[in-house]
Amino acid sequence: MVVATQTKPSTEQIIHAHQRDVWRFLVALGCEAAEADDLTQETFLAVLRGKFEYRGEQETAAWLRRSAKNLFISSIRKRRRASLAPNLDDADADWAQYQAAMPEDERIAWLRECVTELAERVQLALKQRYEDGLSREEMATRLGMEPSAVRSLLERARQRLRECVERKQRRDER
Amino acid sequence: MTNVERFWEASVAEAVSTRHPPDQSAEILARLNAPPEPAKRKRVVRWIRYPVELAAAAALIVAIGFATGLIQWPEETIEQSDPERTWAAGPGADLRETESGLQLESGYLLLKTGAPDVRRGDSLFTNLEGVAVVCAGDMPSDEEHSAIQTWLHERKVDEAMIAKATRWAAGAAMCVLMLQGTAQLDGQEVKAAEKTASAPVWHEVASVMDLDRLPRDAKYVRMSGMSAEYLPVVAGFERLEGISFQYGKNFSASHLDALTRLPELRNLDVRGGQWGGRPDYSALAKMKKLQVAGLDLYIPSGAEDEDREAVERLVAEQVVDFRQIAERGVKLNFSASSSASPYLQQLREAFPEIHEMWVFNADDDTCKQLSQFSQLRRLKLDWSKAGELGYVYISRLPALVDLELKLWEAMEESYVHHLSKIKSLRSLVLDCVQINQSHTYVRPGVISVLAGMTQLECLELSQHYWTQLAILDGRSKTPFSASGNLQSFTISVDESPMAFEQIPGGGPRHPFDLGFLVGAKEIRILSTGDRRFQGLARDDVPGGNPELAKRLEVIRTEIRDIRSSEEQWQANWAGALSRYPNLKRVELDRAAGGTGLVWHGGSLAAGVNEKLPNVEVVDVSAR
Repeated sequence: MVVATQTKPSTEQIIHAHQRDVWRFLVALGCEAAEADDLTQETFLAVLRGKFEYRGEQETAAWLRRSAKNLFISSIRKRRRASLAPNLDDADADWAQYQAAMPEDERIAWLRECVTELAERVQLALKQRYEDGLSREEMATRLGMEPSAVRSLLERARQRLRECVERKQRRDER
Repeated sequence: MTNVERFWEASVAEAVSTRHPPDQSAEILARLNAPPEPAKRKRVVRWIRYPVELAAAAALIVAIGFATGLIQWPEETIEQSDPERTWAAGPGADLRETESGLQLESGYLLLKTGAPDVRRGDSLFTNLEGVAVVCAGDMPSDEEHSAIQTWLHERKVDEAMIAKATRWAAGAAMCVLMLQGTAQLDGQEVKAAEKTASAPVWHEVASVMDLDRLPRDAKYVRMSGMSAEYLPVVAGFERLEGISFQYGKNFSASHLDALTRLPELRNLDVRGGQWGGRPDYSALAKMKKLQVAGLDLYIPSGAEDEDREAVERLVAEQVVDFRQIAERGVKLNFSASSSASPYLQQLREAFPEIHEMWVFNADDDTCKQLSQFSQLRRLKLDWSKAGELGYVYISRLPALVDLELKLWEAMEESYVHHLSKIKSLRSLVLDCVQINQSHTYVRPGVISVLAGMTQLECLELSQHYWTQLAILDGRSKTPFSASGNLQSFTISVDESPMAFEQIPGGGPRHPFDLGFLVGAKEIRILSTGDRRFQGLARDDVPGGNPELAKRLEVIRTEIRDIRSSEEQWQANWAGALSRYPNLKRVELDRAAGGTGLVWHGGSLAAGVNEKLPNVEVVDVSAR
C-alpha cells in the first residue's frame, strides 16, 4: 500500500496544495470565476468532512476533482442550464493527463511569455476574447474584420501559443 | 471541442486575463472549523465575492457617504440574521470559531455589523456597529497596512471607505482599523474617522493680477505654466501649506530654495517644470514639514539615442535622491515623459507603493509599464498618444481611483469601453483641448458608455467647442439615468464664438440646463464667459429628463467677468434655478485669468437670493 509510506499532510496543507488545481479544473469545465470560488470551497468541505482518507497527492487530487465535477453537474442541474462541457464523464481523467504533461503553473507562466511574442494585434484579440469576454462579432467590429477571420485569428493564435509552449518545454527539458 | 482543447483554452484565458485562482485557504479552513452548516445556509464571504452586486452597492454607499460624510455599508447585500456572512478572514489568518466568537491567533479579519466578538489573548473586540479590520498583534507596518488595503481592494470593499481609514487603534493583543461606525476594543470605544475635513481651498493664480489678489492668509495656491521667477513672490505668503506649481518655466535651484522660507509648507508639486537639465531638488531637505511632493523623473531629451546604460545610471542617481527625500517621511508622486518608459520599472522597483503618477505623451508602451504599478490610485496622462491597447493596459490597474486624460485625439468609444471595466474608478476627466470644430470630441456612443459607468462619482468633460458635445445635442435623449451615482459633473467651456442657438437639435440655451441632461448632485461649470449666462433657460430642454433635475443640489460656476447689467442677470438666474426643486446652493466664483473689469458677483447673489429664498447663492470669489 502506498499509504504506508506517505506522511499525512495537515488539512491546511492539503487545501493549500490542491485548491488552485480544483478552481482551474472547474473553470476549465465552464464555471464562471465566482461560481468556481464557491464550488472550490464546497468541494473541500464535502471531501474533508466526508470519508476522505489520505492516500497520496495524486489520489487526493483525483478525489477532489471527482467531487468538484459532481458538484458542478449538480449546479448545472439546479440552474437548468446546458452543460458547457460535453465530455464531463472523462473530464477529470483528461484533466489529470493534461496536468501530467505539464504542471499548470508552469504552463501559464510560459504562456504569458509566449503571448508577449505575438503581434500586438493578436494580443489585443486574445485580450478582447478572454479578458473582456467579447463575442466574435463584437471583436470583428472592433478589429475591422469578418467574424470568420476573427475565428481563424484566434485559432492561429492558440496554435502558435501551443507550439511556443511546447518549444519552451523541450528547451527546458534539455 | 475535446476536453483537452477546452483545457488549453482555459489556460490561454488565464494567461491573458486577470482571472486567476484565488487563495481561499483561510475561508475553507474557517468553514471547516465552524459547526456544520444547515443545508440552505449561505456561504462565508459570499458577499465579498460578487463584484457586480457589490459594485452597485458600493456606489450606493458612496452616494450616501458623500452626502452625509459617513459611508454606509450596503445593508441590502448582507443579511443581519446570517452571522456567517458578517466576517471574512485575510489570507493566511489563523483563527478558530468558538461558542463565544472568533479566536484570532494571527493575521487579520474583515468584519461588519453582526459579526461575532473577536478575542486574542487579553484583547476583546466587540459591539461592532459598522465595518472594521481586526489584526492580531501590534499595529501593522506601512507595508502590512498596504497589503491589507490591497486585500480590501481585492475584496471590492469600497475605495472611499478604505482611503478614509488610516488610523489603527491598538489594544492589548490586537489592533483595529475602523472603516465605518463604532465598536469596542478592550472596553474602549473605537470609531471610524469622522467626516473628512472640508477640502482645502486652492486659490487659482493664472496671472500677476491673481497674485495681487491672493489673500495674505492663503494656505493653498495653484499656479500652472508660470515662470518660476514668481516662486520667491509666492514665498512671501507665510501661511502657505500647499503649492501646486506645475509646468513651471525656467526653474532653478534658487527658486525652490526661496520656498524654504515657508514654515508650514506641507505639500509641494513642481511637476512638469522646465529645468534646462536635471532638476535640483536639494532644497526640499530644508522643508521641515513637507509631507507630499510631486517631482519629475528626468530623462534627457533624445535619450532613446543615447547609451541605455548611461540613462539607467542617471535614473538610479535620481532614485537615490528620491529615496533620501522619502526617508524623511515625504510621500512622493512622480511625473515622467514617455521617453522614461523603459526606466519606469526602475522607479517602480524603488517605490512599489507609488500611488500617483503623471505621464506626458504616454504611448501604448508607457501604458504597459504603468499597468505594473499595482498600487496606483491616481493617474494623469497629459497629451496621451495611447491607442486602444494602451487603454487595455490601463484597465488592468487594480486600485485606480482617479484617471485624468488630456488627449491629442478624439476619445473613441472602444477606449472608454476598456476604462469602464475599472471597477475601482471613481473619478474620470476627459480633456481634449486640441479638438476643433471638424472633430466630434465626445461621440454619443462614448457618452452612453460613460453614463453606464455607475462606479463613477465624478465625471469631467473639458473641451473648447461644446456645440459638439453629444449630451447637448437636443436630437437624442440623454443616456444618463436618475438612478445613477454621479455626484459631480464638471464641464469646462472655453470662450467660443458659438452661441447656444447653434447647438444641434435646438439643445439647451443656458449652462444651467445641464441639470436636465446629467444626473449629478453637483454641477460645476468652469471658465465661462458671461455671455453664456445671458440666454433664457428652457423649461423643455430637448433630450433632457426632469427626473435628473430633481437630483441637482449644488451648482458651482466660474465666470471670467461680468459685464452685463445686474438686473438682467438676476432675472435670468432666478428663472433658470427655480426649475430645480432640490437645489440648495449655488457658488459663484471668478475664473482664474478673469479680467475683473466689472465683478459684481456679490450683488448678483443677493439679488437671486431675494427671489429664491430656498436657494443659497454665494459669491465665493473673495475666499
